[in-house]
Amino acid sequence: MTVAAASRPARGARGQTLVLAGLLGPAVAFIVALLLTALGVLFINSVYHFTGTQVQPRITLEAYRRFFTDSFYANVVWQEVRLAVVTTALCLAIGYPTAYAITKIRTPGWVIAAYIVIFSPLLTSSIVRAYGWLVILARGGLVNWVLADLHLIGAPVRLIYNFTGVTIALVHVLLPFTVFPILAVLLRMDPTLREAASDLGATRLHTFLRVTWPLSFPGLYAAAQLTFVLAMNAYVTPQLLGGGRIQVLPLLIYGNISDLNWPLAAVEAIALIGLVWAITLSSNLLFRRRLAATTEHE
Amino acid sequence: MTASRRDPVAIALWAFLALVGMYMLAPLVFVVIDSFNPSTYGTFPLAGTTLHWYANVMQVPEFRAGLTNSLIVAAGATVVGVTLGTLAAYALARYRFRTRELARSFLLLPIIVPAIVFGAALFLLYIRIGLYGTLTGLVLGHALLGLPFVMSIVAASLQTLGREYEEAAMDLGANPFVTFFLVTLPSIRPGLIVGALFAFVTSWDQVEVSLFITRPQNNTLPIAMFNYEQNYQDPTLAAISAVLIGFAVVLVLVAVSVLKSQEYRKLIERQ
Repeated sequence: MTVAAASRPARGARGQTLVLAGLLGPAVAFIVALLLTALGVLFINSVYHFTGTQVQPRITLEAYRRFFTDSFYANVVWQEVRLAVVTTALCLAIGYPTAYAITKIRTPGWVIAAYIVIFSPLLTSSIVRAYGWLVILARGGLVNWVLADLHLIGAPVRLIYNFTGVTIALVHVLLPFTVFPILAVLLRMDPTLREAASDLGATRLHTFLRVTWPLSFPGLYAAAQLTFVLAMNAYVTPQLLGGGRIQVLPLLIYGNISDLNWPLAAVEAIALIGLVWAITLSSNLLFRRRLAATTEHE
Repeated sequence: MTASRRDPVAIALWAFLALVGMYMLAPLVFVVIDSFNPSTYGTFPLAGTTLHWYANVMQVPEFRAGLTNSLIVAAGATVVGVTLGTLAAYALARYRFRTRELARSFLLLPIIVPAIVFGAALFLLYIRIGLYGTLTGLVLGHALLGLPFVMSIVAASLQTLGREYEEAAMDLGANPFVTFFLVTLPSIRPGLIVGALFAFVTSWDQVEVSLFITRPQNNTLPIAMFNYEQNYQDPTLAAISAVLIGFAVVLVLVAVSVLKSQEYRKLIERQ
């Protein structure tokens, strides 16, 4: 029963349709007019001809052909997937124990402090955070000074404008998104299950391995997927920490838009969405059984 | 953590959490420290302190223009996003209809499409319809990104509210509009505030979409900072970042106190 139906029985199904159109219409129209239209224009550009200086509205698949035959693009995609996989693995390795530790805090004040420390960096722009890592990791930065001061290194270590720097900063940017889904699942978990396990004589390690870990798998999986997708789509961090030496599709998209090669930029954008969807869907298929099994237990 | 302080597992977890905390805060803390660095290249250790870079922030016209533009755009995007998002949330939370799940998924589309792809697509659309480089174009683009957050947050708070007050108001003769504005909206105020904060911050920190649709002479603050970073590397950027970090801290405090006061009021009302 709805509010309208409950209190104004005279109003029929047509009345409700009108009200719904009034409520949902603006938001739906907004998304259609801006997002779907823009994506449509992007798609059209992907089949246009680029003369070398400008775009001509002549239908051709040359941008697709170039993207799929030139090995440069295969290399970029490979670099990007490698970056996203390494980042996701590190985020999970750090994020799971972090979420687990937060659920073990008993003092409310410390819980709030932990939440603020983990999630408040999201309130600052990714540019500020990337700049912070440049300050720390640069040639004359904090890490190199400390290492040199301790006589651990003779010459400055190169920590930015390479894979290492991008990974360190990207893990930092994405960690809150990894911790959150894991934390949500751990907090929702029925504490009596763990108590039952320990009452029945299971050690703490056993309880963790046989109860907590399997039950938290859906959260871990959601966290991995979200982190991976965000890592694949990252622009600011690879740009600022990579210094032009790390190439990923988002950087190519921006570069080609600036160079007026819009057809190629459009193909790269479509490839990025397609790649992310393909990986997400195939991993869903791969883990379907495991995920279904966990849900049945709950 | 656990009852016994000597418990090695608990100690290990605490130590790990402390390390993660340091990692999360490190870039923000060192940006603030670097903002007082007298060295032009921001080298460590600091040879004294200076406020020169803060003064320099005021000298960069792009930052001043960027700040004004960012405030206008974020305010506009918040108004549009909260209005559309709240109306849609009301429909999703208060009505049962066949296409409800479909409508919800559709409204989440803006966060499924990568921002970098949306930015490129929006650029190609805007240059055709004359919105490229305009504040209106930025407001619309940012509002779209904030919309799913507002919708989800407001729908969640409508679901926890229950319908009793709205039904009571209508039984007493209030029409749906009066009920919506005088009963529904005031009672979901915390949800509205959090949703509005999300919409504002989404716009305020937006880079990927703005990058494509701003003109060089008419940037938002993050884009002005992004360009400055690529051209100069002095701690002026640290100084303005430090100001923004301070702004974020204030935002956290406001959000915490708003939510707290609301919760206290609820407790008092119940007693």
